[in-house]
Amino acid sequence: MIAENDATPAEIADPVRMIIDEDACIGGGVCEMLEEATFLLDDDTVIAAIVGDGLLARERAEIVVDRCPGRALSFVEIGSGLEAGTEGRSPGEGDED
Amino acid sequence: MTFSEPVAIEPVDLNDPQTFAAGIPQSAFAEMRANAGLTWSPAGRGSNAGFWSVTRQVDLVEVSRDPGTYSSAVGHIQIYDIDEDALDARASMIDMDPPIHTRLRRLVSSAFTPRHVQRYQAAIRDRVRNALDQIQADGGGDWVSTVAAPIPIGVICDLMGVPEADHGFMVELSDHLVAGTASEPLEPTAYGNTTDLRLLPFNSPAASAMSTYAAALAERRRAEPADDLVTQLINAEIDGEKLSTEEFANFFRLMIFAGNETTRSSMAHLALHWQDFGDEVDKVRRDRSLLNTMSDEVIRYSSPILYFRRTVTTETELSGTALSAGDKIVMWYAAANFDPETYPDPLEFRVDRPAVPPHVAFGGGGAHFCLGASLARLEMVELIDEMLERGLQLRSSSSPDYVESNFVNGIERLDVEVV
Repeated sequence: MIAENDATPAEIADPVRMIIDEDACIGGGVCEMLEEATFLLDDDTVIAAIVGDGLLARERAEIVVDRCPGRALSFVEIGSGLEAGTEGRSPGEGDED
Repeated sequence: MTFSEPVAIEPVDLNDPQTFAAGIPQSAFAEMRANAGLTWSPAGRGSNAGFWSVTRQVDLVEVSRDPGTYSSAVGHIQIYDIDEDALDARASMIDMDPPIHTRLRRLVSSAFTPRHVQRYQAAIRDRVRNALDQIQADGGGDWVSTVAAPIPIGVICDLMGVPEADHGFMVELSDHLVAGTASEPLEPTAYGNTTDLRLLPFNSPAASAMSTYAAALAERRRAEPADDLVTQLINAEIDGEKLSTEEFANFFRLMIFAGNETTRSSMAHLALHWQDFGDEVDKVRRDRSLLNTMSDEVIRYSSPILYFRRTVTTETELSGTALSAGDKIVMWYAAANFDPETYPDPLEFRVDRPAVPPHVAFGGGGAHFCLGASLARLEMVELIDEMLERGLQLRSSSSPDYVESNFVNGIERLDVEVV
């Protein structure tokens, strides 16, 4: 069992919330290598998942996004209504594409 | 081939292994990077069709991440063309596009995640210590056969489940595969081979020997399963089907080749960097938090795989060059890794280059991003750290003997004195 990342926005400088596009993830593991408290590759699917609240300092988030070989990572501003770990939309928003 | 627009022509013969006899042809690649579009090479060895070279980092990343336009499954992934039956006979996941590629890769990829490879850390360190003990006890010797070769082959063979006694044989076969990319044709009956060379990967009889070995090992693991990748592969199923004997053998060969040839090259180049860039090494000596960035710099600077080819599937345009279906696109990792637009002062070896943008020695991203990247990094970090622990000083007693190949940037032999 991996401990929850219990950092709160107050403890991370300029935090943003990470989002994974599971369809784009190639399981390269670069995110896990760079930020192992935030990302974990699933043992069976070898697709990245977010551990805990998915918050990273903006500066780190930009590095992880740029390094991702599958271009599967992005981040949103905190309080934007998007859930961590999904390509998600707010309920009721519906499909647009 | 006729062109509607003028094109830049290769400044050196990129298809001639001799062009790489003294390492990466830096000035030719610099000239090609400065060309407006892609650079054209008139003829590929073993075929009449020429090819386009990609030398800029930004273009290489674009090709790597668009397998729909730039296919690994259509045509060959090496410059020379081969027949359809030969393509089929050798196909491993590296010769495939998503989604088939993805399904094959997932059969083994969980063993190579950053967290999983940490399990091998102690075993890797042991192999590093043994190799360094040996070369120190001898006061020097051939860095390649004593240090750079045994560490990665030992590690990948442990993962696969190849017994220690056969590690040397795997190195030998792997070398003989690479020899198939040199100018001299190989002896067709080597290793008792009876298969037509054109059907064998790298046109090398060693491929046939490796298949025979793989089949025997699979047989042994069927009787006695173990906690290794061979056991995992023989039990794996895709759509309820097990891998065929050929599919398994091709998988095995890819893993052994990719796991040993590449890291070996980088570890061989490390010995050169150790002497040539002593001030940079000293920075890491003082601050071990630079181990990871130094490791990546060694890998960038050595660019162990010089190129892979893709084949264009549809009319498109890249960097201003119009491309047609069937055109060959050759991604020169060794050129893109020294692109000054991406890596300032690229010929300077810097242990603290920023993490972004990453080098492309593991590929430009996308589906074929190096499966063993985390493992390779860990092996390199362990070797550098142990060399620093021991205060190892190296002095070359000969100039490096490069592998004659336009495909791998290998060093065959490098005699060093250990001080």
